[in-house]
Amino acid sequence: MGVKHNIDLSVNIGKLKLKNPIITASGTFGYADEFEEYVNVSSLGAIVTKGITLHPRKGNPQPRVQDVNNGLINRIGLENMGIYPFIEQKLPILRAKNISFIINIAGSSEEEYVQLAKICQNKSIEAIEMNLSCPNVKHGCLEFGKDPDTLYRLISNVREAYQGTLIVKLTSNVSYPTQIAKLVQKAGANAISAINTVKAMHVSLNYNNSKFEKTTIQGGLSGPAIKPIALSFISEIRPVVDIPIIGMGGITYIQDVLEFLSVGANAVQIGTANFTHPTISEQLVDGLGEILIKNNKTNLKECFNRRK
Amino acid sequence: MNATMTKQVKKATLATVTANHKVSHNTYRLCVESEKDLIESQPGQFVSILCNKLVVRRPFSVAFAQGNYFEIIYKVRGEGTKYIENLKKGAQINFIGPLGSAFCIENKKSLLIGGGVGIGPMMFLAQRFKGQNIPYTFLAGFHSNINTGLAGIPEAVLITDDGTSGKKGSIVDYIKEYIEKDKVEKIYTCGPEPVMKKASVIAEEMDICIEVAIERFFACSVGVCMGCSIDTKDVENPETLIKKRICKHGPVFDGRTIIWE
Repeated sequence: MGVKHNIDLSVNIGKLKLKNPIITASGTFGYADEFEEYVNVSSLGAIVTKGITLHPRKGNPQPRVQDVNNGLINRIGLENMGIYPFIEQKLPILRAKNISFIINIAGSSEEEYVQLAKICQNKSIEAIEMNLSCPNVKHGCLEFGKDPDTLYRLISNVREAYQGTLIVKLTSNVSYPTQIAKLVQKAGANAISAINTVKAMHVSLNYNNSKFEKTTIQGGLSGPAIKPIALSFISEIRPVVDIPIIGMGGITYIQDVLEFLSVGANAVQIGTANFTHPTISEQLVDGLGEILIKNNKTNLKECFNRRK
Repeated sequence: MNATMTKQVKKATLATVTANHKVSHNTYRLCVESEKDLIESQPGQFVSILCNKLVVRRPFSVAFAQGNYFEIIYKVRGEGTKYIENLKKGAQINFIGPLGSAFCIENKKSLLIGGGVGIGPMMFLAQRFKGQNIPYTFLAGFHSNINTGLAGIPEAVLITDDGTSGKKGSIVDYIKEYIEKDKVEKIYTCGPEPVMKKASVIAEEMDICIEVAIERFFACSVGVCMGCSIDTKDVENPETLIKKRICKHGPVFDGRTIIWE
């Protein structure tokens, strides 16, 4: 923006003070390095790293991605280098950048989550996002995000091990979103991010020897197709929790950002749209600023009639 | 934009279609003029094209590039390529690129093996070899009849499965013959994976360098989604499995390092 305007896009998520509410979602922005050719990453509110596990993971065999109408199904299976190599190789690079970052952690057991949280605590990581809902690994993740008792115990234990900003990422694949959301807050999380990808399947048919033969890909659906699901989920849980909600699900245009903020999200994450338009995250930051200027507002809160 | 930024910021670029025609059964050649020069584009690299409202861009190897003009060779497979097939002269496309690694051009007697749409990067490579007077033989394989003039293929040995153009048979059946006949020192290939796998096996047996350009479906094209992750090995230490991403570390790899599926 050419002219300096006195606008404030900042938002607080737990102890994290973000310069704006535009965050890039886990698994869609690498460790920020990969996007530096496209985006001035320091313009973003924050970035969330690819999901990191205790031990390195090779991920699932091919095929791992399949696009469908208005969406993308992925079954990557959390391929990542593991927390220790991450700390050694990637953390110094992230710290050298002028950005807020959130480490997305994924465990395959309660012990693993707690151990990951302790490591993050020891390394003074400012914020973690617990991936409780990855639909693509056999053990853990999604199941933790679904069962209320397990979820409460898990988050409480992670809370005990970690003093930074704790964000819990939820799946919409649950029967009682409000019950889950309340438990997350009660267990001590500082924020909820929602929604993770939605369990989905793509089928392709071939007619062979007078029969249909199917090939299927099952994984997590992201992209504009899940935006209505995300908006509904967030508007449902907003009244029952006081902690900030980071909304996501198919956000591509500035209009989408505004819609998420209007139903109660305090910040948003941009995921699949980073693939379609690699410069989108920075454009949305600019777009949000322009909206404030155009409407003669100085901060985001003035734009929405919201209590939280 | 922040004034302190040192890196060049890439943006999606618009290009205008100058030609889009069929060169063989289901295979087409798209020619476009971009708003910016693709001056740094090298054989092996790809562009990622936004196809109408599809969430994921489609990657295509560059078949020729000069200044702001470039070409791709594509096969109509799904919604993305159907969209490209329907583009008329004057239509606009949105692309990012060039992306990925390029072939390492060496002054060695070379064999270029292009199968199907894999002829694209081989055509580009052949142009470069011509310009640098590097001796090469170009094997171009197709299922069926191909119009080489329309495809823009420079002098190549044509091989078709059904024998409707050039020699009859599979391109892999001719690899050894040409390596021996032309005393080939390095192989470059792009095409169906069974062809590249076979070429890599032959290259290893005959102790010849080989570079392969792998074409697969990606989600992000920039190295973050892990959708195109493949298994590779270290030639010196074949027991060690190394995960690589086609869009970031490739698409060009040393053929001997690939663990083929």
